[in-house]
Amino acid sequence: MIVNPVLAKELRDRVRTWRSPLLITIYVLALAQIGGFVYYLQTRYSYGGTQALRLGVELFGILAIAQLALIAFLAPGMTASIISGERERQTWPLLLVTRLSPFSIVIGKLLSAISYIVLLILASMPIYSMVFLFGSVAMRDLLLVVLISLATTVTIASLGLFCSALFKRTITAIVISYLLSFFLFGGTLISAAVIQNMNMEKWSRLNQIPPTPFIVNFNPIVALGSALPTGMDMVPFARRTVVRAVSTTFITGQPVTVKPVEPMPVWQVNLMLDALIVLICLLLTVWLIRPQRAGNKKGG
Amino acid sequence: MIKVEGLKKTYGKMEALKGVSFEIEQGSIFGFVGPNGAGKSTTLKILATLMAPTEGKAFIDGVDVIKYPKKVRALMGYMPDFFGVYERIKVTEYLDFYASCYRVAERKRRSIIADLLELTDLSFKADAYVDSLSRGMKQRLCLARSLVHDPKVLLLDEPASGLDPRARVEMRELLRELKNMGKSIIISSHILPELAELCTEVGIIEGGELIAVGSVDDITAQLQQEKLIQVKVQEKIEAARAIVEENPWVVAVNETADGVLQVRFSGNGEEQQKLLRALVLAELPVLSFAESSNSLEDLFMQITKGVGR
Repeated sequence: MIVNPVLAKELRDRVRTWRSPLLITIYVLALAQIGGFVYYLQTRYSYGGTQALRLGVELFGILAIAQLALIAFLAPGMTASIISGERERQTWPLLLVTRLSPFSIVIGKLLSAISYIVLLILASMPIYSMVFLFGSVAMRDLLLVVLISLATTVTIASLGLFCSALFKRTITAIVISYLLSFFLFGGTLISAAVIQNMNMEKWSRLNQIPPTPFIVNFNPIVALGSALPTGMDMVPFARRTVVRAVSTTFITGQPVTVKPVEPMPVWQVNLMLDALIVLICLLLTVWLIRPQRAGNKKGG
Repeated sequence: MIKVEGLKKTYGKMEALKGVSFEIEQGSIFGFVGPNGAGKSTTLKILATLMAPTEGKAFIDGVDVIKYPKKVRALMGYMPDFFGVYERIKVTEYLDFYASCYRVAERKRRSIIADLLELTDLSFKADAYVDSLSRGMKQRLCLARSLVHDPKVLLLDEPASGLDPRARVEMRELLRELKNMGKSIIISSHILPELAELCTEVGIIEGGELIAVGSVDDITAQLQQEKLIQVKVQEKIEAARAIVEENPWVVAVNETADGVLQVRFSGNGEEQQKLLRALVLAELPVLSFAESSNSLEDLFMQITKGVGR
C-alpha cells in the first residue's frame, strides 16, 4: 500500500494514458538502436578474439552514456510541470488546504517522477544484459552505472521540481529546467575546458598538466566515465590529473612545493554533490510552497 | 464558531482588507457580499490558511488560523471560486484522493464517498471522468470534496457563480441541507438577493471594509432610510411633478415611460401624508400613491459604490 496519496495518484495518472507505454517503447527502441549501431560499426569488417572482449566493454560504456543523455532529456520535462501545472489547473490551493504537509506533497511528486524514470531504466536492463554475452563487464560496473543514473535522475528531477515551484508558468519552468540540465551535462565540460586552458600557462611553467577543474565533478557523464572500465578513454576529464611531487623554483624566486595528491574518483565526488543539490532543491521547494506564502496573490 | 478580529491585508501600497471583524455562530450561514475586488476572497483565503494577514486575528472553533493552520485545516472545508479538477480521474477517485489527503481512514472512505455522492446528487456519475461533468455537477463535486473530512466549517467562495437557474436552486437546497446538518457556512457572492433567503446573517464588504453586518431584515431597516414612492396621475403630470419637487423631503424625482413619478423621499409617514394632501388639494387626479420597497439589488447598489468594478 502506498501511504503518500500524492504519489499513489500520480503513479495511477501516469500509467493511465497511452503516452506512458509509448514513451517506454520509444526509450527502449532508441537505446537498442544506439547499441545496434555501435555493434554494427565495430563488427563491420572483422570480429573475434580480444576484439569481442573490448566490444562488450565499449558497448556497455556507450549504452550507459546514451542512457544518461536520455535521462537529461526526459527528466526536466517530467518534473518541471509538476507544481506549476497544479497551479495552472487551479488544483494547487485545494491540495494545500488538506492535511498533507508541503514536504509530503513535494516528496510524493518527486518520487512519482523518479519512479517513472526508474521504470525506464529497468525496462532498458535487457539491452544492457546483452553486453554480458561478450564478457569483461563486471556486475560492479553495472551497479555503478545504475547508481550514477539514479543519482542523476534524482538530481535533475529535484532541479525540475524546484523550477516548477519557483516559476508560475509551466513553460518558463520547463525551459529553465532544461537549461540547468544542459549546463550539468555540457556547460560544466565547457567551463572546465576554459578554466583548464586559462591555467595551462601557469602549470606548464611547473612542467605539469593543470589539475582537473572542480566543476567537472558536477558532470554526470564525467562521473560515469570515471566509473566505467574504458570510460576514461571515452569521456574527457574522467581521468584525474595526478599532481606529481615537485620542488622547484618559481619565476619570483620563491620555492614552491606541491605535495602528491591521490584524488577521489569523480563519480564519488559527483554523488556527494548530487546529494547536496537534491537537499538544497527540496528545502527551497518546500519553502516556496508553504501555504501561507504560496497563496499571497491578490484576491477578490 | 468563526471569529475574525481586525483583519488587514496589504499588497505593497494597496490595502485589500482594512480591519475586517465579524463573528459567526455555529450552524449559521453567513453571506459575505460585496462587489468584485472588495476583499471577500482575501478574507476567505486567510480563513482557509492559504494566506497570512498583514495584521489581525482569525479563529475557527477557537483555533488560531495563523498559529495553528494544520489544526484549522482539519476543521474547515474550502471551496474556491474555481473548479480545480484533475483530468483523467474519475469522480470516486477524485473524492478518494482528497479523503486520503485529509487522512480519512481507508476503511471509512467508501461509505463517506457514497454518502457525499448521494448528498450532492452525483451517485449516477460515480464512475464518470471528472472532466466530462457539467459545470453544475463540477460545482457540486467540489462541494463534496470540501466535505470529505466532515468539517465543522465550510468556506464557499462564489459557489453559485456561472450556474444556470436550476443549478443555483439545487446548490441552495444543498446548502440548506448542510446547515441542517449543523455546519457553519460562509458563502461569498457579489449578488445579495442570491444569498438573502438562504443566509441567517449577511455582511456587506466594500473596498476592504465591512460596512454592514446583520440579518437581511436588519440591514434593510438600517440602510433603507429613503423610501421610493410611486405617484400616478391620470393627467396634468407636469403640475404633479412641480408640487412633488417643491416638497423639502423629496430627494429626487424620475418619470417613467408609462407616466409614473418615482419619488425618492426621505421624510417620515407624516411628511408623506402632507405630500399626498398637497397633490389632492391641487385637484390633481391621483390614481395611485404607493410606497414601493427597494429591492435587495437596489439596496446593494445603494450601499456599495462599486469600488473595483
